[in-house]
Amino acid sequence: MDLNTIGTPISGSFHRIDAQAKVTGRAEFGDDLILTDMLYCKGVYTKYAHAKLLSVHTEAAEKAPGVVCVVTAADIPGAKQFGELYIDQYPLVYDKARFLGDVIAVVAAETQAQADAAAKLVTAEYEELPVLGSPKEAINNEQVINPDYPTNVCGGVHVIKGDAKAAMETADVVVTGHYSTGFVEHAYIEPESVTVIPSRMRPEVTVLGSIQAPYNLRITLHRMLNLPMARITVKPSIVGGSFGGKIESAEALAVRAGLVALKTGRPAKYTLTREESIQESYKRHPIDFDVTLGAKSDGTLVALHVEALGDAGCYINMSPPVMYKTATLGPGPYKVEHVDYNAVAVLTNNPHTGSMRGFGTPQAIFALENAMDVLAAKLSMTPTELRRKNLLGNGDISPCGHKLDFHEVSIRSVMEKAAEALDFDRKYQQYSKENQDPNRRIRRGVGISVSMRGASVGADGNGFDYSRALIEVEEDGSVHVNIGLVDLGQGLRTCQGMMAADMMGVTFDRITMGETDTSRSPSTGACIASRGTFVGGAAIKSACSRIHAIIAQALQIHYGKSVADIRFSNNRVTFGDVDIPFEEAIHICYGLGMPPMAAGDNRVPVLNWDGHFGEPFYTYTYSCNAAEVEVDLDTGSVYLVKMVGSHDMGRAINPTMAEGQIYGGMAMALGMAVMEDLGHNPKTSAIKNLNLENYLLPTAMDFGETIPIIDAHPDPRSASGGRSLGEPATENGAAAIACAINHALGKPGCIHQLPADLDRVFFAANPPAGKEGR
Amino acid sequence: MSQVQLQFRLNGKDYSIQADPTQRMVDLLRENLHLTGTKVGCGVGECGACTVVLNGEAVTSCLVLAGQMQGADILTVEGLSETQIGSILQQCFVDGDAVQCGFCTPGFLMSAYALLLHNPHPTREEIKVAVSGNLCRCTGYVPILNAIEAAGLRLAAEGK
Repeated sequence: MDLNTIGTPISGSFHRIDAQAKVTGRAEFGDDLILTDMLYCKGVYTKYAHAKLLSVHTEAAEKAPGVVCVVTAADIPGAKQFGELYIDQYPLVYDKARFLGDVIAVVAAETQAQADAAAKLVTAEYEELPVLGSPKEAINNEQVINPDYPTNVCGGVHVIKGDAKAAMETADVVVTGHYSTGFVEHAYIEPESVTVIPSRMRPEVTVLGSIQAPYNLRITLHRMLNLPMARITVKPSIVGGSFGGKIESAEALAVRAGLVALKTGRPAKYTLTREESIQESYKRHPIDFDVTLGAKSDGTLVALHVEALGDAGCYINMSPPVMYKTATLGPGPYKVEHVDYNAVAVLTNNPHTGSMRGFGTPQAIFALENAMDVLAAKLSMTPTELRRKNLLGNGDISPCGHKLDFHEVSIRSVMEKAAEALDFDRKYQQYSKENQDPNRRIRRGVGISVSMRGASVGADGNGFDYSRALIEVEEDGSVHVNIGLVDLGQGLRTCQGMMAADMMGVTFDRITMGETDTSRSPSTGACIASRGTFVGGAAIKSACSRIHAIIAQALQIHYGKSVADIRFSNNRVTFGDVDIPFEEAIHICYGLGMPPMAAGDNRVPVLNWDGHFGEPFYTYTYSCNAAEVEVDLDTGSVYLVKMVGSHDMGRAINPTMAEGQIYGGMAMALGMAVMEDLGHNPKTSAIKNLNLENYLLPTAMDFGETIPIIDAHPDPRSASGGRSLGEPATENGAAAIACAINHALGKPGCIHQLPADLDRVFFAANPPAGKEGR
Repeated sequence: MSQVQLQFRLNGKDYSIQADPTQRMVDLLRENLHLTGTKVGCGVGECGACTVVLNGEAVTSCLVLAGQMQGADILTVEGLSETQIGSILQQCFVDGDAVQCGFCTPGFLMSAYALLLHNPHPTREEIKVAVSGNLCRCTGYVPILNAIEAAGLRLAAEGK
């Protein structure tokens, strides 16, 4: 039996299996859960961004109407901190507050209104500490945020390949530039909501709600609430968008609601308002970049040196792995022999920063691609000419020392398709010429950006990149698939179902995808790092192969003949001269006491990467965005006229849903590029824009045309041929838009800070007297 | 706040209930009537997730007081399937993959319903304006606009 050729090619665009429930309002999201006897929670935030907490007074709140209990950090029976990789986050302030999103107490009452009112009665005494509002200020400051990190530096990755310094001396042209990006909010439309239901039988809880990483949440509750992991069941509700954001944010709520549930024996729901969500949830890292890029006069890149400084905020969260991706993927899909890329994250009293779609790369690509345009201008080349000269091809060594000889390195084709769809080269020439006219106040510009994205976690995550699935074939031949990789709205469940149907050799209607339930689906890591399809597919394939082996064994016993050539396809099982329906084969299995059930597993091979050479990732998705903008010099406003997102994700399991990812990725990139700004104050660490009336998201009115392109080349390193798309869809979009704005302004690299909002673009177009724009 | 008797028509049925007229309409729908298809995303009328149709107009129910429901004819996502426009819209959203996480979906459907009620054959620009008060973070809007456009065409084909 050749397990590599089972099944038929995955095909078609099936409707999402949850779409009907979502268009009728029946889909149950976290806050939709209503239980009798349920309590409602409300958090009380610290008054100061950095302060020792001397005492908390809850007595008045406890006596308020409807209040059942108030909990503080003193009520936590186990560890006081949690975290995925670094255990340093406080869901309730214990010794000191570290940012304005820290919570000092939680009030639980019979109604939300009663909890809200009583929360105002909680008071506290603090001893204020100096606030560190920026990484530059925090590095080596005598004020230390976490005593384990005395310099406030909490992690980093330094990629060194060749000798960038010496090589830079040999370059004909060297460009330098400073680039920086701000905080970006995930802005899932559903604010976080978690409900913890205590068992009536024994110390045990069930957790529902907007949860991206159920197994991580279970570990956190185990550590903090002193419950055995086997007595913590996590069943995520339908999740209203996450983008990396509902991991630690959900865990903090689960700990707080869990304390209430265990103390009262009643279900406790904890839903955040939008303001609370923006106040306490983690963000995309703001990163400052100093880029030095050298090339020969013919455009051949010689050396890249980048110093990147990321703001980790008050908790380490995912900062070290984020810096890993900044440093290993920031150098782009280019042939460059000498690389020195140093990415460092620093603790501050700002909102902490962690997983967000892109994970450290949108910022780095913005910096590099603008530097590429500055270099192109200096060499009198166009942006596409310079990129064509340097893009990777089959067998080339990546900037981080990975020999790419195991799949089609398609970035050239991916870029050409995007450039063609936008008519980039012609428009670049036309607009460059038109923009010479000083009387033209509405300028047009085009920008292009490229990237390679490591699928799943990289060598920094060696060991925990595994996946598992449990599949059971019922007596009627229907197939129940349980997998703990949560559908976050991207359609993962549908994709998994399609892969399961293909790999089992049955039609899609035979597959039932179980809702994620940690008591039924074996632990499988989280749906992060664009790994859901990639590693989920491999676990499903493994389980299907094991089930096929069980069926084959049963049929061999039943028929008493060889099943060496057994095949499973389109609801039929065939071998030798036998050709029977799948359900008949299953019936035979049950009759022999061999019901087919199997857990499948998959481990991404250990990756060897030494900081210079090796495999920083297992495989890559290649992407290009091309954007066209109109810039009004008199107002500073930017309109995205057209944008093309071109991607090689290996294989699009469901092409329609893949396009949906690309459309959404472009809109998210537009927000980061021109409008999303938290209004963070580096003196106080306060956020001004706490709701969507001033934290602006793109609407349907804010852009013209967006075009997705799928340029797929199946990957031999993937069970399904498919790789990743979630993060590639957005990671280089902001770079393309910024490059287009700078082209319109006639000054490559001129906008060097995101977002390129009205003020920045206006002053870049109209520099104050005596201050020429760069 | 004291309770009053509120009478209104909701999803084609007549209601007469005791409720606090100063509570938000969205809370009355979700908490009193357990109609949780209408979502709360921001509480300030910016995201549109709580959009319902009140006397034929799309409104953000987080900015409407329960008292304003007195005597009104209201449609929420739970009642859409019973209407011709609504069921066509739902089918077009499913067919066109206009739904990802689905949290914003009820709001978009209700804005689109109000649009098609008054203007069965809208232009692309009119569709964009009609849903400009609805935020979506997943789809990049294009599949949603396509779905509403397709619904308009299907309505035309069905002779509306």
